Amino acid sequence: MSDRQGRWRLLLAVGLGGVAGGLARVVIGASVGTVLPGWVVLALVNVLGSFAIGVAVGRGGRWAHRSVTTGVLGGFTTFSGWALDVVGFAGSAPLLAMLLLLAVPVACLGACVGGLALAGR
Amino acid sequence: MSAAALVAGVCVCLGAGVGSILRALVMDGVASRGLVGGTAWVNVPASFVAGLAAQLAAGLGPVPAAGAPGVGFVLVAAVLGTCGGLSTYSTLALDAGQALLDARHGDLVVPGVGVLLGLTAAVGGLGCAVLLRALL
Repeated sequence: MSDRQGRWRLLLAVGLGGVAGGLARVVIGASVGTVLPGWVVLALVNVLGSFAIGVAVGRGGRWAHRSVTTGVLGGFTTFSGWALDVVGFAGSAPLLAMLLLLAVPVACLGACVGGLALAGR
Repeated sequence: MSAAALVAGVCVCLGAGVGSILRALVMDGVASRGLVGGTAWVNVPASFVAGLAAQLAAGLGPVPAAGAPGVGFVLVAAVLGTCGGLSTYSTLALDAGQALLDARHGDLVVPGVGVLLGLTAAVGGLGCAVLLRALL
């Protein structure tokens, strides 16, 4: 297989992984979104995805394949959705916006570090 | 499930796939050129476009509870879905987490600035949409 073919196959794998990650985000949103507000669901998704990437990269091997890290977990989490939540609440609920601004990045960082540590990095 | 919810869900899934491919291409290009910034190269533009699309969507009016959503709704859903896929929180957390564990505390500045720039970009997108709607 040429480098070009290999690159296209990798991009396809990343894309399919992204679809899977997006689907997981939709399923979680649809199932938990009836009892929790959307911003809570999105924050939980981002924290869970950050933990999972820590575990995946920490374990290495096929778990750290780009279809998983860049694809599935990259597609599962979203920065732009979180940014819209923060900005959206800035006017109507500034304390909530501040909470999202400070708590979510810290929680995601902590979750990722926890995942890396759990995987024995 | 309403048609609008189904369309939104499909757009999130497909957008995540397309966005992930774009993200891989951008990050590879950034890495090959030795540029700093990490995930900011995707999070900032994605947040700007998402802010723009979200504010423009507000001008489309409420989504009908029944029946097929309009073309405008589908376009906005597709754009927001792609922005969701293009941007990433997990890789951002990974960059910062590895820097923290490696005691490369100076390398935490880049993700931190990236977060602030991303939020600023979202505000910028919202503002540009307001301007566009006023002008058009």
